[in-house]
Amino acid sequence: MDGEITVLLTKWKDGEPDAFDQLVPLVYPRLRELAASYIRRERDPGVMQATSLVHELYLRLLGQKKADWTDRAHFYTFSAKIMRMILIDHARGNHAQRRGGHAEHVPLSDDMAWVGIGSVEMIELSRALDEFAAIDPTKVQMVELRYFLGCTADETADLMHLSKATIDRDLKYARAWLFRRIQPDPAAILTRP
Amino acid sequence: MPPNPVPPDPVPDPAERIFHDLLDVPRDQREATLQRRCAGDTTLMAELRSLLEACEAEELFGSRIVREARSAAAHPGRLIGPYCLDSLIGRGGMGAVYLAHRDDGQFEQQVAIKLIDMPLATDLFRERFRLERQILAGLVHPYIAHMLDGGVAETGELYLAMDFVDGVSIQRFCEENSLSLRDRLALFLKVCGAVQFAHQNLVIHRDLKPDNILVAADGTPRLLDFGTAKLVVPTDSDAASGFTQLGLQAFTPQYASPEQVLGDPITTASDIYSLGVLLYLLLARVLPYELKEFTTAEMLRVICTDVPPKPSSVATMSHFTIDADLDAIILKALRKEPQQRYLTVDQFAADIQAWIDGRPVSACRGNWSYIAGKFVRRNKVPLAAAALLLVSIMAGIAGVLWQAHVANRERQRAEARSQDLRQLSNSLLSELDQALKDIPGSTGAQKLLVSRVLEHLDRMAADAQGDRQTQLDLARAYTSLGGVQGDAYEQNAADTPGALKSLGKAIALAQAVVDAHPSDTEALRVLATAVEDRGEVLTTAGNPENSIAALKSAVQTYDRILALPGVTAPLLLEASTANQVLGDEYCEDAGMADNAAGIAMYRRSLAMDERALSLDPTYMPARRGPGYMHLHIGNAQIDEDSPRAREEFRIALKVVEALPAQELAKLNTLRLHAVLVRKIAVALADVGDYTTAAPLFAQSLAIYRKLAEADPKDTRAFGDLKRVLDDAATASEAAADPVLAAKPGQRQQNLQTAAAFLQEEAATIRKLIALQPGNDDPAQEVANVQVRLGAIQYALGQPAETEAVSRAAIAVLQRIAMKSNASPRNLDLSVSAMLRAEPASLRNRQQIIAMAERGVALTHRKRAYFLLELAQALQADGQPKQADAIAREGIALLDPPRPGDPPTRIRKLLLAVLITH
Repeated sequence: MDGEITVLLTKWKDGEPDAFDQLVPLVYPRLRELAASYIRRERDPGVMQATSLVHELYLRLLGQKKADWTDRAHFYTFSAKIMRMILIDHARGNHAQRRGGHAEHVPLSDDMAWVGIGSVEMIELSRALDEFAAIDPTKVQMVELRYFLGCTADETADLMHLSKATIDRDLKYARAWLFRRIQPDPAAILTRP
Repeated sequence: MPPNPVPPDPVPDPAERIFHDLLDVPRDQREATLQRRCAGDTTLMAELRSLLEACEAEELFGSRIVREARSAAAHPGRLIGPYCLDSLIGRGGMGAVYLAHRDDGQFEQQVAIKLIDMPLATDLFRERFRLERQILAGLVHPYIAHMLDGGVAETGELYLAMDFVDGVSIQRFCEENSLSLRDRLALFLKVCGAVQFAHQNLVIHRDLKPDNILVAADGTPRLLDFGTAKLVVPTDSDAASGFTQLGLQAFTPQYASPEQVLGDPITTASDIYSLGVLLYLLLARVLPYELKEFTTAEMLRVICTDVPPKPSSVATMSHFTIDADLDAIILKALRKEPQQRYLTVDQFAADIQAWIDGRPVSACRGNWSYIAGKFVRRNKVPLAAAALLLVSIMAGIAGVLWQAHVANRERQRAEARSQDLRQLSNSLLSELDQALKDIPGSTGAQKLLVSRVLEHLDRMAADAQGDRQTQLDLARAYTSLGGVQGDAYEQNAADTPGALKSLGKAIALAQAVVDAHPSDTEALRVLATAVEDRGEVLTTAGNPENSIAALKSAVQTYDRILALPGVTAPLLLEASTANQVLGDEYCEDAGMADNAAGIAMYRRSLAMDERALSLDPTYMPARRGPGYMHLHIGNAQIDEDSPRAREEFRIALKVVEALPAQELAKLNTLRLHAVLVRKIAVALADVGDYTTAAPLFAQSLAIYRKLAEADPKDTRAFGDLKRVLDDAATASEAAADPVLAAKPGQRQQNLQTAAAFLQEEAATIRKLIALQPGNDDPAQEVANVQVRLGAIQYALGQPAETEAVSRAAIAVLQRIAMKSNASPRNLDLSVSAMLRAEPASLRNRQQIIAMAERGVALTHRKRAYFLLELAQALQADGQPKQADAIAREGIALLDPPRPGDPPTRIRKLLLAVLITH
């Protein structure tokens, strides 16, 4: 099975769209376990933990001791996408119960605190990300790595071959763009006491 | 969903580029820049305005939500353990403090809850947190905010619950109430009391500053934040095992001592320094230093080198003035070198009290040296140890070991680990224990310490197989631990089985190394030490045969080492000590009572000292050694052959007198000298030469009186004083005894002299009882003295009021001598006094015989002295035949006198039993 994942990852990397769909069922259950602990902690679990768990998972799935750097970058990118799917599934499942309730707001990340894990905004964010991906797929990848997988800015920069300054700058733009899609009236927030 | 292509350098679209540029220009220039850059493109302009607005709103909204989420995490009603949070009081680097109440509905107790937010807290950290919490929970003092509870909240944060203190900082309290100088000092003294109390309980505050000392409206100060700072300051081993280096953030620079800034060990002296800064601030209203930049370089320069100005020279207080004495007191607390400051908070406080009372303060008296020392050859320095102790408790000794363990597994092996271990075994544990002894009421801490250390040693031992250095380090650590367990300083606190177990582990570890490397001097030495300690513990366990066997084995191991190359003077002294300990054990009254074997060991010991001296003629322990050894030999002979003993004492005295002047001035040497003078006097009196003995007693007495006066808390000095008084009284009593002295005309005068000595002795013993309550021996000694005094007063014709005293004293003597664990000495103290009790109707003759018989049996019929007491008891009971037989048995034990030697006291008294027959 692990050999299959490697093959599929390579295919996906080479731009074969079917490979992703074939990969998901293989990796999804394990990543969901990981995500569950992420969600259960109900707070920023500490970046180290999330990424090191993904890394461990990666090594396990690939069944090898040393991972090739490029493979690793792809796996992280892939995991980040899966994580986004998991968190959105989670939010959809939660939807009915949470609406109108006094559920505790647990930010997706401190930098993106306006999206709560399991909240309606999470579903809206995902739609906005799909729209944004059509214009600027790189930034979506950044958002996924940084906010869904929990990588640090440095790790994100590393995985994407960019400088940290670029990551910070681009994410600022991405957040503004996404926020505007979700909150149609930002001015109201600025004038609210 | 295909992978997103990753361009090497993404080129933003024009709107995005302008967006970034706009964020870089100041807010008030943004509009102008926007107009210029868009150059009339209104769509672009609208898009950018919308994006900028969204960006600003996103940040604001995000931070607002973060804030709300944080307070939601502590929203009113949230439960932390059994506490219900009410409101946020403040936030600090380590987490937030909330006002809370206990949620059991029983009583409304307001508490402060400190949540320590450390998401990455490791098990190691939690373990340490738990250990320290245990110590802190014991810190109950009216001026310390009591730590009530602590634990791990459901969300994983560590929490501490403490008394909620409703007050203002001590500085604000002083200013707002315009306190007078005296009131400020009085308030400060209360704070000192609390800090001293903490020190006695092994806790250093480490962050004393006005904000941590709140004063309630009624003027009661309360110290806060005990133990929270200590949770994060790392030790060297922390750094080694990957702990974050938080040391420099964990204190407040303005109040930090030089050692804190330098990262040196923090001791109680650091708190004394911080108290000095506080007092400076309270009196002068400014801090001793001005820190402007808070850089490490500035802190190092200012705190570690700049001498602070006298408080009086910078004071801005108008309604009182600071005099030179107060300047001196404060500056003494602020000395750069910890050992130059007050040694304890109590001394600091005592000086302030002296100033308040108008007495001279010690800070002005210049330097005085602290003379410390012990009569034993293995010296320990309690003060240094006390300082060390507090450091290690703080670091958590278990932590040290744990980290050694972690290092053992995860890091490059040998270095860090064995260094930690060596530190532990060579100094930490034994000094820690010594320091614990010096702090009353620390038995609990000692027990906790021992169990933690043992746990971790066992864990490490499981990993150590085959690694020579680790095995030896562990053996040393087990040996130190065994010493702590076996060496009780509070009655019944010794854990002999535990000590034997630890020493057994040490021996097994060392033996394994020795088996693998038979000529490994270091391993043999570790083995010898552990075996010797085992022998010493067995002694106290009342197991003389096993003890002798162990000590013999230690001596043999040393013989093996001494046959190998590389013998040094210190090694010879170590071997000499082992021989001496075995000799002592042979001479033990209730043990082998084999003085000849004991003396043989002492002679071996003497030869080793001499060999050491030939290797290194300047090695001082080897120069002093023969003095002690001849004293030991003489002691083994004094009861039965005082002329020979006197020769040994004389040789010892010559050894001592030949020591360099500097050495002679030392306390230990002074004591040795006084002991020898006393022993020579005793030996002279033993053969009836009271005239020569008297001035020697006087000389010895003068030295002891001076030592006892120098330190009114020195129990050893009072013990020595008591002994010389007893010896002098015994000599005068003997001089008045018609059997022993020929001049009955001086009887009255000798009796009066004896009575004077006995009275002073009783007073001295009472001081000892006050210093060491709960010890039976001094009580029995007082009773012994009272009965003897009663007998003398009876003989002098003043019996009236003494009979009741003697009766009560005899009751004490009987009670103690009848105990199942009574020692030969207990029996001697009772029998010798009761035999003499006056009026004779006080003597319960059957009981005296029973006690004397027990004394004879306990000493295996090998002690002429105990046989004499039994013979006298039988004689007094009208059993002359039995008395005669016992006296003959006693005489047979004595060496035949050498030609020209005068008859000894014991011989005369034994013969007296025969003659009257």
